[in-house]
Amino acid sequence: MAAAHHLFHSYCENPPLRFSTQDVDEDVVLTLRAHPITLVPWFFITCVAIIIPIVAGPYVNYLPLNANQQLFIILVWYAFVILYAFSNLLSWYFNLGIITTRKVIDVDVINVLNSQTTQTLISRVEQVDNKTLGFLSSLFNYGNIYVQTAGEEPNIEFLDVPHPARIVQIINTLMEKNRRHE
Amino acid sequence: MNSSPISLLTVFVNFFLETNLIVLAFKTVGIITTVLFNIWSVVSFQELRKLNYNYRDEQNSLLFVGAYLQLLIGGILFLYAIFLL
Repeated sequence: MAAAHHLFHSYCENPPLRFSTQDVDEDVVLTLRAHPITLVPWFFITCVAIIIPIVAGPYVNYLPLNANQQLFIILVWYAFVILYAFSNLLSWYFNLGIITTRKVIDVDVINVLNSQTTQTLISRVEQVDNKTLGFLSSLFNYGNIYVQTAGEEPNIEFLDVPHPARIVQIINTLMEKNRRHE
Repeated sequence: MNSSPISLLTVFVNFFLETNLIVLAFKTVGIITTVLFNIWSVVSFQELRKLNYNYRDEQNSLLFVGAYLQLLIGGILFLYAIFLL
């Protein structure tokens, strides 16, 4: 089936993604990331941080620093702005939900150094719920998905993902197929 | 006497200039900052490689462009801090 990518790859059906714990006969059905609208706060902060040296430039001349030192301060500032934006981009990109024909996997990357992966078999899923989160959520069609599992298996959450109703439908279809195979 | 924050800052900075410490302090802070930046860049690059190994996708190479850019900027700033400050 052809891959379908939407919203900057935040919702991809049948993506060409491969992951390390994937079984040979297992296909990735869906990959999910937070809706791009949730990136607006850090994107806005980055834009403001880019503008600050331009606005503050004339005031730096009051300080008794030579041209090299002034340039160095500005370069360091921009280096940290890039670092901030890139770290946020990586966190968003690898905060991944993967739904395969056999498993549901949630990868949480808090920052580049802290990550956690939770996974459960489709056969262990008991219930899938979605929750919309107010005005923006309704307007841009994103929400949270809660996957409840049987027994002591950890529950899985996909936060701020696009097309929540469609995702619930896909997981329910996979659960149905799984039951028929059993 | 004008006691605006900027002139107070100038007096404070002039004290260090007269004792010739500000250049040394600036250079030290500059080098420490760039070293920290470089450590973070290298560590995040390694983590990116691990994540990329675990979840291989078509567009991941774009992220490596960002990681290499970060390493390049860190290297340039470090050399700047050592030789030009």
